[in-house]
Amino acid sequence: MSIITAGVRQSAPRAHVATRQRSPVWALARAEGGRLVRHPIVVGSIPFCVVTFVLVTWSQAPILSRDDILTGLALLPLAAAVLLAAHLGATRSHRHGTEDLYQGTVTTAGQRTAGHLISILWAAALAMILVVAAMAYLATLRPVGRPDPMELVSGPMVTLLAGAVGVALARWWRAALAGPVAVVALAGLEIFLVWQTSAGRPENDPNPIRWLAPWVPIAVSGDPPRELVVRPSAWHLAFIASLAILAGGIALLRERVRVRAVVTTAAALAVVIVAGSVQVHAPTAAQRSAQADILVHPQRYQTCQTRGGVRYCAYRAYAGWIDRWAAAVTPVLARVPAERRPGDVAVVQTLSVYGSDVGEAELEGSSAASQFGYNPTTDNLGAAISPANRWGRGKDEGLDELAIDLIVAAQAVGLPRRPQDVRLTRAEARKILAVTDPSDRKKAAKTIHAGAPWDYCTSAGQARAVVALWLAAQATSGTESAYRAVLARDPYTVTVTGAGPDTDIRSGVEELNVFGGPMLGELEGLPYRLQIFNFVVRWGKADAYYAEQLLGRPSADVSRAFSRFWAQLTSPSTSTDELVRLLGLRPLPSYEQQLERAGVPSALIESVVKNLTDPSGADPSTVPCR
Amino acid sequence: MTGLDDGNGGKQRVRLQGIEKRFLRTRALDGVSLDAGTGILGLLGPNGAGKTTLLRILATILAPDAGEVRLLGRNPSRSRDRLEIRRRLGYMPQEPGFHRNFTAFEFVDYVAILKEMTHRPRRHQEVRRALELSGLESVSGKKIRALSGGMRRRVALAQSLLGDPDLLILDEPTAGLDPEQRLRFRDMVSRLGEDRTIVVSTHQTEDVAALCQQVVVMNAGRVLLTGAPRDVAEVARGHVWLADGRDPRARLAWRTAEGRHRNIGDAPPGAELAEPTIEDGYLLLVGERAFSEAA
Amino acid sequence: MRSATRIADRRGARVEHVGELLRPTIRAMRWTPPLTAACLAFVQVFVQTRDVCPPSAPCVGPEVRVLALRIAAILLALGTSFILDDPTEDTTAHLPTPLWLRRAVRVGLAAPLLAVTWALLVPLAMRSSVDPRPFPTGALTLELAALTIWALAVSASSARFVPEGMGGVAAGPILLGLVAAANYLPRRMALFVLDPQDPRWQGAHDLWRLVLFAAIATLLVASRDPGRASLRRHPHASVAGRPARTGAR
Repeated sequence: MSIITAGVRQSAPRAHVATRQRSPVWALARAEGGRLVRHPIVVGSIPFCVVTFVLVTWSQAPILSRDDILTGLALLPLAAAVLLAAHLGATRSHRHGTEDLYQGTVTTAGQRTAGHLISILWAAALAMILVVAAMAYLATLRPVGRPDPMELVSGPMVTLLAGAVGVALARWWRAALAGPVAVVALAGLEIFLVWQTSAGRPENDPNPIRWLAPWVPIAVSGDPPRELVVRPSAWHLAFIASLAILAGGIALLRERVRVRAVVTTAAALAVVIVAGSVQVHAPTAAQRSAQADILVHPQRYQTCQTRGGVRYCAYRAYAGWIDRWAAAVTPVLARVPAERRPGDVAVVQTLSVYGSDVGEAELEGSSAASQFGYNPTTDNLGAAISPANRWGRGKDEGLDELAIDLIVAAQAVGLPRRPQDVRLTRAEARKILAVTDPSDRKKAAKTIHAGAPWDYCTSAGQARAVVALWLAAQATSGTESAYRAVLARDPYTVTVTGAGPDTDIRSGVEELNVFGGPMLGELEGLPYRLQIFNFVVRWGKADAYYAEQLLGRPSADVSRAFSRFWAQLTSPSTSTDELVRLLGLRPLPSYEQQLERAGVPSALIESVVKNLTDPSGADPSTVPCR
Repeated sequence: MTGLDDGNGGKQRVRLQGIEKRFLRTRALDGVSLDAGTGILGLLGPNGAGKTTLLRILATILAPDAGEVRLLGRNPSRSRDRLEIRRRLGYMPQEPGFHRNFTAFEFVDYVAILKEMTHRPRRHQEVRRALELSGLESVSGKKIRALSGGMRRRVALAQSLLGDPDLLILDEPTAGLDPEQRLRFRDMVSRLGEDRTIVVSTHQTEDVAALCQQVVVMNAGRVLLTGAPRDVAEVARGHVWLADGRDPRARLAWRTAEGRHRNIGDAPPGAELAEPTIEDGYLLLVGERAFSEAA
Repeated sequence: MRSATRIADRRGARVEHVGELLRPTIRAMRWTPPLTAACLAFVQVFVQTRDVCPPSAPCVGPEVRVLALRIAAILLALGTSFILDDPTEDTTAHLPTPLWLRRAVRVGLAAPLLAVTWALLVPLAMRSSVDPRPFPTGALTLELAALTIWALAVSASSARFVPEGMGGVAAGPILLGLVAAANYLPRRMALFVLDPQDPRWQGAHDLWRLVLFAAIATLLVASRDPGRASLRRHPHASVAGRPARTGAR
């Protein structure tokens, strides 16, 4: 034996005496916790969390009472990674053959398991840091609403549960397959509980069993606000936390059945059962009617402000959006001659019922009930513009601004806005009935008759449509970009492919020889983004492209010209051609000219152009805006 | 290459020139050259010296980044040559892996199949021969999981002897063997080395002294010395002395069974010089690193 | 040659060689993971495609069946990833039987199990279907093949870095990571399209074909002989054949 070795042996007990008083569990937990959060799987999952959160919140103005739930979704990759890493960590000694080595130490297998279980707290802390970072990120984006602390803690708690499941699995099923299989099984269970168990049920009555899933989205379908869904978030948190303790107890019981572990496990099981059963109850009638009251009596829950002559009302949690709405609407009305500005523009928020816990029965008699099945000819949703509980961010904010501005602009130039503003003539009603299924005709005649409201009209060829489109598009940089992007997706130019009976003639995305004509479908669909269903105007593509030409001119010049000819340009009888001449715009080639140039046979041109110039011939339900 | 073995048992069965191998930033081998003919060549060196990397290159498992390798007169970088070398090669890795649910016989038989021995009766005969050579005949029917660590190493040794290879590469073959097993191993390897080339890597200087005709001392990926075992011992001549106590000038010292201290280092004038051993030479050759490791 | 047991280098000997390899390889392979994964896949497909709604208004549509079979395919791939695990890989690396052949034998032995499992899983998923439209079994089988071969490829690639050639340990998490990453592909490049009627379905399966080819290529590259001359050379290394410096000093 060397002298040096002998010296080392003498000094060893002293070092041991210094540290032996402290429990090895925490020291082990610290070491394992550090390893866990530095594990490549865990580190690799963080970009997934970040990307998930950024993607799901990217196009939406932040609502903290909704996005707090999304933090739980974003943390699922981390939870999966922690399960895998915790399983690998707790089976490391088995895999690398160090079990015998550890058994020779003073630390028992149970203490090692406890160390692994406590080490999951490091991962939960990492999850909490990510949640705080997510909230801090949203805080920079002018959020509305208030996050629910229970929801914010829920994601880290699921991470804790996943880690505890990983350790428990490691103690009962050491195979390396166990971790990945458990992740796939839990992912399958999540999908099954949340989405599949609600299949076949009404949208407003999803299966409450979904609350047994680790993460529960705000709704199984639709986009309801937090205010209209009952979320037993505290009970769910208790459920997840007790499941985590239960998993930990199961892990500890593998080594040695100790009274404390048994009692803890039994207590956790009791809480799992209690919290589990409380949370899977469907919302009570009282809860549903309390929520319905928010829609039935919005004035009790809303805050209103008048800006630039426009009245804005938002639910209190969304009061911050009044600034966003006003920023979109004010520049539209600013370009309308002061004496012509409509005095009755109002933006009054509604909330999306679809997928919420409010049923049709609770809303009976209120205009919100129409969301369950809007009938444009019988339901009158009022005169206000009613964006719901969503507003875009970035490019999407431009689209939402454009959606609201198109309605304001339509109102400013005297275009009809709601079905009640479009009244069918006798001839129109007759034509529509003629193409109705004969078996339904009798029933349809009750709502389709002279003077009946109708759910859309075409403004194609009317000068005031160009004015309205320009007013809406020029409002903000966002609306202008959104407008140009919509047009770029649907070019005016006619393309002709094929020959003979296979000739395919398209203008942008529309097939000209089949569909009604050169309408800009995306524009008329924009209000649906805000759950506004009662806007009636359909926009002509040529008008839209003339408005785009105007966007190329200084706004002040266009505004001055419009002011000068306002009465003439907003008259329903003034055509777009007259506006083109009046403002000196570059005339767009007619479809006929384009088709001739493309070498389309004249007979075909005739039928196509007939479709275009006589929209009612192609689709009798398209009535002109008056 | 002139002067090299033609594959039929000539002189130089192993020739390495300027071998380099890196693993990321670690230079495992740095210009290693050596020649070996019939007989036993011992590789000595501290942990991390590059012995295992060198043996893996000799076993055709690893290709060098630079330098030339000729084994049994062939170039292992060519796939056809490599196949021919492998047919005449036996290799026992430092940490052999096993299918633990196999018996010793089944495992060696499985390796024999991988060695392209498809004629079952003849293969079984060869497997029995290898097991017998390794002293495993009595446990050949036992599952590997039931064998002791030393027995498992002998199973690994048995598989390397299959097909009576012309080139046998043994990485730490005596690690974990008891003294009797080590002596048996020496006997067996000594007999095998009479008509083939054996390259043995070991930490046991006594094994090298007892078995090897040629020794290569390595450190930090380089060859420090190539020669006979006595050449290694000669390095320490004049650097080993006996004293009644630990001499402060000694780089390493220990008390012998006789109660005196054997000091290694720069001997003071008039010191009672001792006959150096291969171990003393090795310690001086690998220098500070070996001293720090010994400490 | 001293003991005459070595086989001749004949073409026909290869078949005989593979035949001899089968029995010990069956015993050497880890069957528990693929069998466990198969059992779990049956449970999962059974539960997920159980339709509690009346046949006139079924709640389980083709999307659910596609999802159930896709999850089953991931489970089967995870289980199969362990079949290449070979604790003797380092001990036997110097032997003349090439690595690719040993792995091919293992894959060949596992393939029937996988095929039979899949052949039973598809009708299990379809048991309550009243949809007259054809179900895209072929496309889902392509997905299974691609996922499984990716699992094997990752396992084979990891085997060199994981102790005792246990590439399966690394393959599971990596495969799950790849599957998760695939979910973040842009819509037009989506791999996991749920609805067979979705216009992207065909394009997605064209992409799956590429994924399969990439998997096969990766598996082949990872199964090359580790002793073959490395293509990567250090810029400062000497030219092969010339010593960098004298070995002894």
